[in-house]
Amino acid sequence: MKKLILETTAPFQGLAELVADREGLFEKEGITIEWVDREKGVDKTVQKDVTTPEGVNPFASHGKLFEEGKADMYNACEWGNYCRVQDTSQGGRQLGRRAIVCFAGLYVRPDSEVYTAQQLVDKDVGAPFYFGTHYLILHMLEGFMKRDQIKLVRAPNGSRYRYEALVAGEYEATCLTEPYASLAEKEGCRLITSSFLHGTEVASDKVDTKTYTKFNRAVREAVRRINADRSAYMHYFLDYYKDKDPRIAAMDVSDLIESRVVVVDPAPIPQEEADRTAAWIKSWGMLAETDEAAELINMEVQQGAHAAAE
Amino acid sequence: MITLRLENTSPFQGLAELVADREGLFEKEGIHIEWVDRDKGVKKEVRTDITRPDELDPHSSHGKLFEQGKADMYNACEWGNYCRVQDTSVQSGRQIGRRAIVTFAGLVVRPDSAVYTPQQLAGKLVGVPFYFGTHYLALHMLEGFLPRDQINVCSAPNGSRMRYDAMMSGQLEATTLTEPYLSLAEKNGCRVVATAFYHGTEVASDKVDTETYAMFNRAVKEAVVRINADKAKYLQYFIDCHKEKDPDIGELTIADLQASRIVVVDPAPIPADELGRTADWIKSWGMLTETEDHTDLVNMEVQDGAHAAAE
Repeated sequence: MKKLILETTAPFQGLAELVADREGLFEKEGITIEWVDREKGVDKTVQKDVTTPEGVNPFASHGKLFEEGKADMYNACEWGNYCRVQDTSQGGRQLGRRAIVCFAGLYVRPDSEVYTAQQLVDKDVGAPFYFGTHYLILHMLEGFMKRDQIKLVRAPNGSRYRYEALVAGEYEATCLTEPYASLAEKEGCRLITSSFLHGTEVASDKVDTKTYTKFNRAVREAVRRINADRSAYMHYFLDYYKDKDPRIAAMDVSDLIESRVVVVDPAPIPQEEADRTAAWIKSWGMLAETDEAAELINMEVQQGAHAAAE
Repeated sequence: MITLRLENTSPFQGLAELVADREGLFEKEGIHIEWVDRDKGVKKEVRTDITRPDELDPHSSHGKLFEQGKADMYNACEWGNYCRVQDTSVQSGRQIGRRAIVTFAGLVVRPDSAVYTPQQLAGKLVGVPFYFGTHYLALHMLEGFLPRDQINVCSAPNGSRMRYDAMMSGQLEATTLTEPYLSLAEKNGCRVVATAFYHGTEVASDKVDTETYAMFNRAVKEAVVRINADKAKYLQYFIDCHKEKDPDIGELTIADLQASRIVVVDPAPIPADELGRTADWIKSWGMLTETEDHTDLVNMEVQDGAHAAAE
């Protein structure tokens, strides 16, 4: 049995891996998962004086334990992982895309005067720098306004904290994932714009082609099970938080929207998408030390493992 | 009693006006509404060879009867109305303010599409109804994720049903849908890769003076109060409007729709800063080239007077 140490993941970003673990699919492939808590000690405050990711640690949560040699692999949004891999001190590389394509939406309070994305011109939007919703906010907003009209402030990772700061009036809008997107809607907040985002896995050389193949076979079976009966897996989004958050505990799966849960077989990052993604990140002043997007990917493991897991 | 001839509207773009009419709120204000059918004879085809709006008539549906002198007012998306007012042949035709509903729409792909995120629509064919709200909304949503030269749009009909069919048949990789077709698409396994809301406005001739528009807006405001007090009740409008012509919609229930997608607010003036930014953005896409001063597109006297009077 091979042991893999993974940083903890939430359903919105790792549903298939959680299902594979819970239903014994990793064990069946000869892998034991040990989860390590990347969230311990992470700052959860809003910092309105921090308005760009410059100077912010990309390993504040995702990759934190990996960089300390305490985890073998982690999954996070693709954009953030380009930046993390650029800055890694552990030789970490992306191995491919994770299974879930994550839904997220930009929300305002019920009493906000903002009804459309354009109306967020020059208004504070809380974004967790280097996390998926930071980049998604930029993508969503730059379609509706000029870049110099987008005004971000640093918000914590974890939708719960961002939601609480939104309701408290610390900023005009923020981006939420499930189940907090649904909680926000239930409590009268308004969605302004939404989209989906990809994530990837970053691993050390402990995760070789053979190991990642086994891992992906387990995940693919989880994807098949979830897609065969999505409603049976919606409770994961509530169970993960219910002991820590009574508002989530008070929700029912009928409060969630199944069409927001999209899982697909893990797959390589298409080269043209990797190049376009890297170019876009650079256009925002990040990833300045990377010449080629291909440097950020372990091509050998990515290609070998995904082909073998077919 | 004043008779106002309005071009017909659907719930996704005119829920509050339909409620005001059905519940006698216009009558109470002394207005009788006569609906005229703007969609009669409108071509409903996908034209993959038409990739820009400049070959098309902005008055093909919205504004068609108004331009013929057969309607006094119509509501449509704000972006399209800037273009329609620029090109109007009705001397007094101007926007007089924003309508009540803030419309929800999404960019949708088939269940078997390889597209999961908007970035993956680079170079892929997206069907949009040029000059209608979701045309402009698709541009806004896509240009956040793609350089403009990777956005590949073509002409698709107005009316979500026809666009949904064209997308399902494989003519288009993606298209924009409004309710109830967005919910129908989701029920049938389609994926909504991006969503957003947009404003619409009313365009009127000088028959709609300040007093008349104030009366009209008082009725609409009462409809807004009623809808917001019981959104679930009014979701039925989205099904009823289409069910006789479309059995797929007839099979939906309000449980298939999401109340949070229905946003109605008091009709209001177009804020000056938003008006300027909107006009600039439309021009950046090669439209509205003959408008030097965007304030020419609004009847400021009626807009300001009527909204204040309806308070």
